[in-house]
Amino acid sequence: MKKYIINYQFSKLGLLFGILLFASCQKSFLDLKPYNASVLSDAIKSEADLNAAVNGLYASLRATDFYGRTFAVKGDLMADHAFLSSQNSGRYTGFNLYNMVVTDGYASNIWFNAYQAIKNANLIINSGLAITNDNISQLFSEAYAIRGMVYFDLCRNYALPYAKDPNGPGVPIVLSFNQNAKPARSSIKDVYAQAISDLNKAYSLAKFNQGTTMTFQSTGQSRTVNSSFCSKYAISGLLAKVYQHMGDWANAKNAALDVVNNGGFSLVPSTGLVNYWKGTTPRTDRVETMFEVTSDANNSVSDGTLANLYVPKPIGSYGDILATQDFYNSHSLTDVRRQLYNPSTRSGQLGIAYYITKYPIDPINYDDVKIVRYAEVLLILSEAYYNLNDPINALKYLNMVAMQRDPVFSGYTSTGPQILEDILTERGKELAWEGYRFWDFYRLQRSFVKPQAQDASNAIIQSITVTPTTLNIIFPIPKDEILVNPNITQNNGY
Amino acid sequence: MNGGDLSNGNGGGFNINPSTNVLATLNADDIESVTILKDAAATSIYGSRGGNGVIIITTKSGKNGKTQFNFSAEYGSNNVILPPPAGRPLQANDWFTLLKEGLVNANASQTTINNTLASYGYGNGVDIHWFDLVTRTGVQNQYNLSASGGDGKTKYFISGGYFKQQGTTIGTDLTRYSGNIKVSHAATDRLTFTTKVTVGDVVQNSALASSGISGGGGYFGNPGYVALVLRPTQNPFNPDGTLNISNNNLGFPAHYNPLYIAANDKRWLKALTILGSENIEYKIWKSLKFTSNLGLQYNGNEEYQFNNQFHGDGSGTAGYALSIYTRNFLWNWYNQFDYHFDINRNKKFSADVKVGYEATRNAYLQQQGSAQSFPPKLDLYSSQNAATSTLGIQISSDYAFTGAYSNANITYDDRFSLYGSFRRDGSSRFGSSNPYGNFYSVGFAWNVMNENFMKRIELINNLKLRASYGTNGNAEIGNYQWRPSYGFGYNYNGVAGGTFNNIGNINLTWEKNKQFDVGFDLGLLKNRINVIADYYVRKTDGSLLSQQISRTTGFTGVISNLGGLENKGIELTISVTPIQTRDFSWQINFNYARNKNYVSNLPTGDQYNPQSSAFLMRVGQPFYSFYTRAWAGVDPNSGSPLWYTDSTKSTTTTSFASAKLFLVGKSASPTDFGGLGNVFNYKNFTLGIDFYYNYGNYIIDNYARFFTDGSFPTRGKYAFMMNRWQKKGDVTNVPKYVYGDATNGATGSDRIIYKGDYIRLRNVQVGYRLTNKTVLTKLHLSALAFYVRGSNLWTKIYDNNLTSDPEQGVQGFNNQSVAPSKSVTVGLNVTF
Repeated sequence: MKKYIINYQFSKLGLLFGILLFASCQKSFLDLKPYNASVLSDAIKSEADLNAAVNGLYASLRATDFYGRTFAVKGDLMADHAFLSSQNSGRYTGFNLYNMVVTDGYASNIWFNAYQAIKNANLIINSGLAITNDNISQLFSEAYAIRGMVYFDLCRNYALPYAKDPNGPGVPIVLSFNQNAKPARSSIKDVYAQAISDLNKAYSLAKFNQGTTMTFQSTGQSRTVNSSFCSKYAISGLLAKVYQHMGDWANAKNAALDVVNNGGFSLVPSTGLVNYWKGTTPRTDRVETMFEVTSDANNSVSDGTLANLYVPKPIGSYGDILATQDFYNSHSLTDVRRQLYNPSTRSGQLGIAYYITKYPIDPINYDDVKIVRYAEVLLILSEAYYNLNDPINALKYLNMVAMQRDPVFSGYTSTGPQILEDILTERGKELAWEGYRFWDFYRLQRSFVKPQAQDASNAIIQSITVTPTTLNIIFPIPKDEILVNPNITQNNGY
Repeated sequence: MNGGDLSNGNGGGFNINPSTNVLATLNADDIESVTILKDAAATSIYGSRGGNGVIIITTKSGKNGKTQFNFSAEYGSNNVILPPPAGRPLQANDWFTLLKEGLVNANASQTTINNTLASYGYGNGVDIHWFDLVTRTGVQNQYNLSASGGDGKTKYFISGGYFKQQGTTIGTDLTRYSGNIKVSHAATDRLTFTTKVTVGDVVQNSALASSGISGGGGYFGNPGYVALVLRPTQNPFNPDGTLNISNNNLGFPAHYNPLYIAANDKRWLKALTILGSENIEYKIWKSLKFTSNLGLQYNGNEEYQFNNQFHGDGSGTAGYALSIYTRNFLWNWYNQFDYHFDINRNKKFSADVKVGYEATRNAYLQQQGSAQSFPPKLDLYSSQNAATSTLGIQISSDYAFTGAYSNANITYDDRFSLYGSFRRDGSSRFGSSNPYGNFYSVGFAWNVMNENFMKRIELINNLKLRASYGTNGNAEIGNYQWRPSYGFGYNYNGVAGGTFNNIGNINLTWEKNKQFDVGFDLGLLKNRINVIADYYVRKTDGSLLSQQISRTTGFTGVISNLGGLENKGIELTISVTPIQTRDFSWQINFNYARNKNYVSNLPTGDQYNPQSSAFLMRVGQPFYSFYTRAWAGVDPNSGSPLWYTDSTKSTTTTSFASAKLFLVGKSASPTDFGGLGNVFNYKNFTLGIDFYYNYGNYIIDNYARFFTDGSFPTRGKYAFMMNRWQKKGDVTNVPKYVYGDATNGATGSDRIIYKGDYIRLRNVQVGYRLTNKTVLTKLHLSALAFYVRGSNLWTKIYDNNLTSDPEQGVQGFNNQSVAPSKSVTVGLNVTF
C-alpha cells in the first residue's frame, strides 16, 4: 500500500515536472529584456521621445575627454599662459611637453566621443519625425546645432588651420549610421561647410531664445530653455566662431551682430563676476552664458571636471595646472578677473603657484562648462570689425568687455595692427581656462613660447617654441582608428 | 558544484573588493573532491558552461556506520613576498642622488637645486621603509568540526567552520563562518532524497585596497604601490607621534598617508552565500533511474566604503560613503533518466544511457547609494550621518539557459568503451535568430591491459589508450549584448535622456570549441612508474569578441562571432616511485604541459585585442601578443633612450614619435608550465615538496613610467634606477635621469615588458600520523595527525629586470595588484 501511494504521488510530481519542463522549453524563457533599454526602432516616435533623445545628445557632450574637461584644458595648457606643475597627477603631460604620439589616449578618446555625439545627433536628425510644431522644430534645431559644433571642433583638433589650406585633409563626415563604414577624410573646406550648413539649418529651425519655456502638449511637461540648451542666439555665437576660424570676417560680423542686436544678452557686471563663476545653476536671464554643458547631482563626470583639475587639495583634487606669473601680473589690480586666481604655494613646485580658481568646487552639483559666452561674441565682433577695417567699432566692442571687467580702465585706444594685439590680449584674459588661447595661435598661424616649468623665482626654466609646423599642433588620427579604417590617412609626421 | 551551477561572473562578483569572488565563501574543509575535466568527451555533456573546462566540486557526504567526529585546527602566519630586487623602492640617500642628478641634467640653477632638495628634507635624516610600514605578519587560524554517519537508510554529514585571516597589509582581514549539511534518506528501495545546504558568511575588511566601484591596482592603499609611489622622505609621523597629514613636501600633498587611511577609512564586504540542492532519485526499474535535482544559489553581498573627512579621497566632500547591496539568485533544475542496459545479460557488454533536460535562470539585483558631508566624527562613518545623498539606483540583469542532453557509454568486456553525447543548448545571451547550439562528442578507450596477450608482459601492469573528439560552447558575454538597443540613463539637466547605445547582433550565437584529444595511461613495474600523456588540439570558432570598427560610427566595436583561435599542446604526468620499502617510500610526481596558442582565423583583418590595446590580434600570432615599440637601449654617448624605428630593427631613433608599433614577438601566455612534487614517507612521517614552474610568457609593467626615469621626479623610484647612464661611454639599459623627462622612455615600448619565467616552491609539508592503536585507544581517538606547511617559501625568476612578482594573471599586466604572500602553518586533525 505504502509503495502504491509513493508511486501515485510520484506520478503527480512527474506530471508537474513535465509541465514545468514544457514551460521552460518555450522560447520566451530565453527572451529576457534589459531593464534599461528599449528597442532601437521605437526610439523616436513622438515629441517626448525627441526630447529624451536630445537630452541623450547633450549628455554625450559631458564626457571628460570632450567638452567636459579636455577640450578646455587643451586650449590653455598647450598655449603660453599655463604649465603643468612638476608635482602632478600624471594627467595631460603630453599637452605640456608636446610629446603626444599616435597612441595618445586623449586624441583617441576625443575622436571617439565626438563621433559618438555625431551618431546621437544623426539618429535624431534622421528619425523622420515630422515637424508639426515649434517644439519639434526647436529640438531638431538643437540636434543640428550640436552636430555642426562637433564637426567644427573635430576639424580644428585633427586638421591644420583652415587658412593654411582649405583643401587639406579634414575629418570624415558621417551623416547616417552604417556600422561597416570606413570613411576617408573629407577636405577641411567640406567639413567647415558641413558645420556651417548644420548651424544654418539649426538657426532656421530654432524657435526659442534663452529664458522662454516650451510646453509639450502630449505630456503636459514643460522645458525651460535655459543656458544648458543651445538656443537660437547661441547658434549665432557658434557660427561667429566658425567664421572667425575661417577668416570669413563679414559673416563672422553678421552672426555676432545678430546676437548683439537681437539676442538680448548682457555682460555680467564686474561686481558679480566672481559669483558668476561660482554658480552651478543653468541660467535663464541671458546674462553672459549663452550655452553651457551642465552637470548636476546625479549626472556628472564625478571628479573628472575642470574644477577638480585646477583647484588643489584639500578643497579640490589635483591643482595640476598653474598660470604663469607673467600672465597673472598682466591683470591690473582693479581687474576683477584677477580674483579668479589664488597665488599660493604648492608642495613639489618651486616658486609661487598661481592656482586657477575660476571653477567652483561643488561636489554635489559640479561645475558647468561654458561653450558660448556673450563676452566671447563681443570679442569676435571686435576682431571682425578690425579685419573689416572698422577700428572704431573694433575698439567699441573690445572696450565693452575690457571696461566691464576693470571698472577703472579707460579703454584701449590703439590703432592699426596693435588693435588686433589688444583684442588677443583681452581674449587671453577674458576667455582664460575656457580653452581659447591655443586656438588663437592656431587659426592665426602664429608661433609662441609654451612654458613647461618654473623655478623658485617664477622664471620659466623649461619651455618649447611652438610653430605652425610643430607636430603636436594637431592631434594624430588615433591609432585605433587607423587600424580598422584603411581609408583614413594619418596626419603628417605621426 | 554538487551537481548545480555556481555563478561566478557579474552575478556573484564583488564591487568594492574585486579581488574576492564567490569561492571565498566556501570552506575548503567541507570539500570532498575537486575534479577538473578538460577533454572534449568529459566536458561536452556540460555544454554551455563547459567551454573552458569544468571544475567539479563535491562536498563531503556521510558514510554508513557509527557517528564519526572530525576536528581540525590550523594556525599560521603570512608574510608578503617582496618584489624582486630591481623593483624595490630606493631609500632616501639614493633617491636624493637621483633628484639632484636629475635637476643638474635638466639644467636647473644651483639655487633651484638647493631649494628643491631642501623642500624634500635633504639631510634631515628621514628615511622611511614604506614596505615595512604598510605590511605585517598576518596571523591566521581555522577550526572545523564535522560529524558524519548513517544507519543504512539515512546518511548525513554536518560541519561547521571558522576561519580568520589577517592580511599581510595593515588593516586587512577576513573572517568566515561556514556550515554544511548533507542528508540523504532512502525512503524506499527505489526512492532516495538528498538535501544539501552550504552556508558561508564572509566579512572582509580592507581599508587599504583598491578604491571605488571599478577598483584597480594603482590606488593609495596597495602596499606595493604605496611603497613605490611614496618618497622615502615622507614621514608618516609628526614629531609628537601622531599621524602626519600635512600638505607640504615632507607630508602628503598628493598621495595619502596610508597609515591614516588604514586607521580611518572603511572598506568592507559582508557576503552571505547559501547553496542548496534538493535531489530525488527514483529507480523505476533496476536498470532505469530518474533523477530530479533543483540547485539554488543565493548571494547577498553588502559592501561599504567610507573615505574619511580629513585626509584622502573624502576630504574634498567632508567624507564620502558608498554602499552597495547585491543580491544574486540562481536556480538550476535538471531532470534526467539513467538507463543501464546489459546487452548480453552476462555483464560483459553493457550500455549506460543518460537523457535529461535542464533549465537555469539567474536574477541579479544591485542597489547603490552614496552620501557625503559627514559630521566631524571619525567613528560615525555610517552614511545615515551624512547630510547629502548623491546616488540611489537599482540595477538588474538576468540570464537564462536551457539544455537538452543525452549521452551513452558502451563498454565491452572491460576492454573497449565507446562514448557519445549530444546536447542542445539555448541561451538568452544570443540573438533571436540563433539562440540554440548543438554540441556532441565521441570518445573511445581501449584498456589494452585486459587483453590476453598483455598478461605475459610483466613489465607493464597498466595500459590504456583513449581518443576523443567533441564540441562545446561558450556563452561568457554580457547578458544583453546581442540586442540592438536604445538605452537610457544618459540624462541631462535633470531630465531622462536616451541614446542608441548598442549595435547588437541578432545573429550572435554560441562560440564553439572543437577539441580533439588522444592519450594513454601506462603503468610499469607494478605501478612504480606511471605515465599519463595527452595530446590535444582545440579549435575555437566564432569567438565571442568585439569586432573593432571605425570609431566614426560612434562605436568601438560590435559583438560578433569573430574569427578563430587554436590551442594545441601536450600534457604529460610521470609518477615514479624510486624507493618503496616497508618503512620508507619516495615518490616523484612530475607534470609538464606545453601549449601553443594562436589566432587561426580573423576575416576582418588585424585588430586590437578587444580585451586590451596592449595586444594586437593577427592570424598566426598568439592571442595575447604585445603590440608596442621595440626598445633599443641607451645611447652610450648621450644617455638618451633609443627605439628601433620599425620591425626590421635596422635603425634606431631617439624620438619616441618616430618609432613604429609592431608585434614585438612577446606573448603574455606561457608556452610551458607544470610542477614537480616529491613525497617521502618514513614510518608515520610524510614530507612533501612541490614546485611549480612556468615558462615562455611576458609581463608588462603598466605603472613603470611613475617609478622609472625622471618624468615623475617627485615619486619613489625603482632600485634599478641606480644603473642609469651617468657619463659618456656608460653602457647601460637605463637612460640619463632628467628631472621632468619628456622622452617617454618608460612607457609604450618593450623596455617595460619582462620575461615571466619562474619556479616557485609552492608547498613544503611535514606530516605525522599517529597509527599506534593502543595509544589511539587510550586517547579515545580513531585518528590523529599533525602537519607543518610552508607555502611560497622560495621563488626563482629568470629576468633580473623584472619589477614585480611573476604571477600576474592571464594578460601579464603588472597593475600593482596586491603581492602574493608566503605562509607557514601548523595543523592538527583528529577523528573520534
